[in-house]
Amino acid sequence: MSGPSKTLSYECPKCKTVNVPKGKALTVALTCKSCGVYFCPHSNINDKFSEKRDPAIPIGSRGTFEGKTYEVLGYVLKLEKKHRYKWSEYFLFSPYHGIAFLSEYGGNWNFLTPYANHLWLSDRKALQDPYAMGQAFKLYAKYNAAVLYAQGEFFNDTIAVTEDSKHWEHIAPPYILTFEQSNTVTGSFLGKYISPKDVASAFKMPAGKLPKKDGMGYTEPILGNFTPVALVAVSIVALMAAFVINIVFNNMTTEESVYQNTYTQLELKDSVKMISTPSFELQKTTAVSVQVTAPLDNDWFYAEYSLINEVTGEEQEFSGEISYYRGTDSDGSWSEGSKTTDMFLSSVPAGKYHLDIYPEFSGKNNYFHIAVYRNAAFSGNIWLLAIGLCVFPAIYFTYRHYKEVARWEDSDYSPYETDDD
Amino acid sequence: MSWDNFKGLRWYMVTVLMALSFFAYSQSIGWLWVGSTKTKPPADQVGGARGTHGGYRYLHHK
Amino acid sequence: MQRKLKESVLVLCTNCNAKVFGTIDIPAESHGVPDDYSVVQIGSTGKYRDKKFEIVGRIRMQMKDDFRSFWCATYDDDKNPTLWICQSLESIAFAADTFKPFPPKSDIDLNAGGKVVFGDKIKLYVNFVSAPLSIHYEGEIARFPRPDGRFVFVHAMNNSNSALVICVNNDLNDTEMLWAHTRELADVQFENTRKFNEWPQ
Repeated sequence: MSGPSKTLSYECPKCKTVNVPKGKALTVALTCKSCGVYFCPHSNINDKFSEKRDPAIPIGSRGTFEGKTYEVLGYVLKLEKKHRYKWSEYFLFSPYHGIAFLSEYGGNWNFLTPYANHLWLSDRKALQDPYAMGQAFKLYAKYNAAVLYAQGEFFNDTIAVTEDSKHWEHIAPPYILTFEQSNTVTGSFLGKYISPKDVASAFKMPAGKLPKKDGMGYTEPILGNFTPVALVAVSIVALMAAFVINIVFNNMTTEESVYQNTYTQLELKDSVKMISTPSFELQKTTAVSVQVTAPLDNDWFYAEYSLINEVTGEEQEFSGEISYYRGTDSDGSWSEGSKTTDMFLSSVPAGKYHLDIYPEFSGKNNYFHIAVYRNAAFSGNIWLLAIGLCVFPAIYFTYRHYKEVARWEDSDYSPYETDDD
Repeated sequence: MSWDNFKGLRWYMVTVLMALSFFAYSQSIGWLWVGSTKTKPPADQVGGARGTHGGYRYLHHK
Repeated sequence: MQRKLKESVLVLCTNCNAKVFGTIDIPAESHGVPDDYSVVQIGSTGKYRDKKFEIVGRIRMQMKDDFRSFWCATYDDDKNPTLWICQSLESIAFAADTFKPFPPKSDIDLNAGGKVVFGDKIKLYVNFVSAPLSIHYEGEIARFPRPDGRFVFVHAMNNSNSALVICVNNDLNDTEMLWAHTRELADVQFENTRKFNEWPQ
């Protein structure tokens, strides 16, 4: 048990109104509830503002982020001194979870909490690419800032701390790592992009009351809530799985000959000009390979084939030509074509089949050899699948590149070449 | 790397799993998606009687 | 009232903040700590390096732009009977040690970002430096270098999360320091903490 505590109150140096700080002894700067003047009771500093802007999220609002409820104690409108852009910061507090900030620029939001786990300094300079959360953060902005307007309570002299400090912002979207350094303090915050919808939801307020989103936030995730490394990891695992499946099926099935024979032109019946093979059995739906070989020499062989299911009467017609030519010319000997052909029938249902063959002989060659295989090996699908699996990552990384260029457009430290370079 | 980094990939992962399943099914029935020899039912089987080829009945050949 | 700290120099009543025991004198306005929404309180317990501790007292330093609480805790270790817990809203550091003189041939740059150097090898970077505007006490306090608050408080760190809390006097020979270990606030759990009905957790 602690002893009796003292209730604090601070008199406004301008209008003498007594202000009881919500943050109790933690509050070291506040604006008067009556006249709005900013003052620090411990150091007798007070200030007034040239600009007034009402916060989109009123002081005193409570919002829940990742299950932690914070109250808005203060609001600051800041100005970056070099490029003259303005942004808003909401100072949040919870006795159980400490302090946090919501920053808003162009309708894009980041939620930040103190980050004490990283050593930022090397010879009084922020590290160029600090490493945190298992990833490198890139310097996005380095600036000096001024406070244009403040409202509410603060646990430091927010005007002095802002204006006396150098500020660094590093990003690894959707994360942001900020660092500020004055003569007396170095501070670091780790934040994450939060969508306007989620901000509105956290405070149970209509999204329409928040500033309208204007362009892409500099920590905004590009497409979905995932990291590029995660996409690459998923794609690699998927590709590996595809190749493993392919190997497993190739090892499980062995190509088996179901019929083979050699036929001569003499076997053609005069009227039909057709050869019928004996029946053969396909025990399950399978790929069928029909290999035809002929002893060709500067010759051709052509045939039409009908694969006939003897039970259902289903018939599949296909044809194949082989030709083989050779000779010599001024460049030496040459040859083209082949003495064999392989016809592949995809996914033939189980059943009893025979082949009707309608051959055409050139007159020179008069015989051919035919072999029919079930469980025929094939590899085309794996390559199509591999290409398919790469389509989304390829589109994503192309899209990401263009969005990344856009993200860094406002930064003096863009890793991408711009027209200004 | 935490699950947070993968959350946005849920639907992509579901699609990939479906593609892998379809691939495994195709391999099991010998279905080559592209590149198999062109086949066709005979003209007289399209909407017509089965068991003939070029005007000849083949079933009786067996 | 039974004293729990081996190095106890001050005991204030936990009900009325009156001095019960003391080998040091503090002004009347320093008795008792202003309410600052601290969930940690006298009687809170926790674990540090697998050893249980209990908070018995607190020194609260109010700076111009921040504050620091030095919690005194009894610690189940004969060598280091006092556990110091140096806490702000942005960091927390534990020291199972006593304040020791700043070693000779060492140097401090009293600017944030400046170096604290021990010999050739040990180097830390200052991340907070400020003189207390006021000091308040509650409960039982272990020996503290300058109870009058006439010092500059320095907090320095290195990349292995070692921290150094230094109370710098005008003369470095009269300066004392405490080696500590910094941890993320979210990683530290206390029990028997204060609840605030007006705040949802």
